[in-house]
Amino acid sequence: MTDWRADVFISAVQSSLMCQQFFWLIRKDLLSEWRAKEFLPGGAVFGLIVFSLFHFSFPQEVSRLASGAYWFALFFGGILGLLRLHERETAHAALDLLRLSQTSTTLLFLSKIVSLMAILLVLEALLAVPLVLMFDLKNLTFSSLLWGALIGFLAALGFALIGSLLTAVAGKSSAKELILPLVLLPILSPLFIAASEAGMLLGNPTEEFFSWLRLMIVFDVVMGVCGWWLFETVLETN
Amino acid sequence: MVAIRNRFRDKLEKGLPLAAVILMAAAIWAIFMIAPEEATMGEVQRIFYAHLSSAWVAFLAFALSFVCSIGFLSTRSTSFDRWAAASAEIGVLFCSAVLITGPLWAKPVWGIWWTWDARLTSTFVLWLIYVGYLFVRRFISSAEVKAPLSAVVAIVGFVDVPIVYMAIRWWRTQHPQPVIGGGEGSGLNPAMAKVLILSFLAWLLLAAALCWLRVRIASLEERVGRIKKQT
Repeated sequence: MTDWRADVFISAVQSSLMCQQFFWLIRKDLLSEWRAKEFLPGGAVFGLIVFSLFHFSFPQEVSRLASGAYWFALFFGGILGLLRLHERETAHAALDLLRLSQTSTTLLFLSKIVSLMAILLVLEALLAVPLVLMFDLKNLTFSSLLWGALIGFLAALGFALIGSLLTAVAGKSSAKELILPLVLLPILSPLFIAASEAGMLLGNPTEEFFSWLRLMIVFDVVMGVCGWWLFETVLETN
Repeated sequence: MVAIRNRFRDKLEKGLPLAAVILMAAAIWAIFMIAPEEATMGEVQRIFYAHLSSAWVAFLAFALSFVCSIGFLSTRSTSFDRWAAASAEIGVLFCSAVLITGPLWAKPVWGIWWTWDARLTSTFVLWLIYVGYLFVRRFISSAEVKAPLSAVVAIVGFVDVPIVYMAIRWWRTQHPQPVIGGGEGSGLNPAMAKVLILSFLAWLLLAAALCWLRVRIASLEERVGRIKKQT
């Protein structure tokens, strides 16, 4: 075999091994959540509590507040879930063992993002049904559902990117339950604002709606770069 | 060489706070005695000198914290970490002053204490982010863990602020447009501009003195910690 063919073969094998590792890492996280059943049931029930509290706090403006209530429930429920995920992982020293196995940090970061996003997207879908029923949302068309799905995807991506980084930071403190919301929520505020505002404009996607979408994309890109750059520092710190 | 450095440091330690106090007194005198009364807002407008100077100093302090955090992650030098922490504390202090003087000025002028406008909200979120940063520093006891993790929070937090500003820029804007570099129709009366520059320098010197003292305290605390470990 000539040299270049050998190089191509080696890089193909390496890529295939990395893909395999990547899918195993995602499988591990999802299987762990499936067995523990903490994030999704807890987040869903928390979401229903938020919906009912919003309903009784603002009875006159309930359909106008639907978008805000939905993202409020998801972000706060998401924080509770993040803490549980982190607790499970540190209790079994999973991250330390993975690092000992010389898994690349980028792969670890990416797998964390994908598995967290998958859980968040399921939670979003679970909460969307009671949202429509409890907030009496009418005039929902197929295109508004598609735009809603895009908002949900961008919000889940942003939350997963910065949530996994800052959960690892807060996890090192003695008061992680206090630290995580205090640090994460202000940083997530542009995503929360954009998702709520875009959600309110779902029925009528004007230029303003697209400007909120652009903002969510900018947030995801910036936080993606920060997360990728800083995740190794957080993992290395013990 | 070390003796000269120590002597310079001692002089700076005494001289900087003294100079800050003198310049602050001069600035306060100028605000009340030299600056002309604003035509529409009257006497209450004098709070502008404290408000704007605090805002500029707070942003500079947060920027310094951001740069020092990057410096720490690149070099792992603890002196960067000390400066990052001190400047974040000073930034929170001056940002608190902005958030207090703003409503005090807004109530008589706008008729309300607070509005969720772009400038106000982004300043408030900035303050919240750095209060979170201080909480991270407080609740992580080990210095080896605290320094890199708080650097991560400082970097992410500072990068987030322009996005927060964009996120709320479509909201109604009650806050006036910038008086300096605000385009056509903006600008200050020359006497007001001189007092503003003096106030900014006084506030800046005060922040520098406080930051310097905070860094010195942190460095002495580290020394005490090391001595305690040895004994």
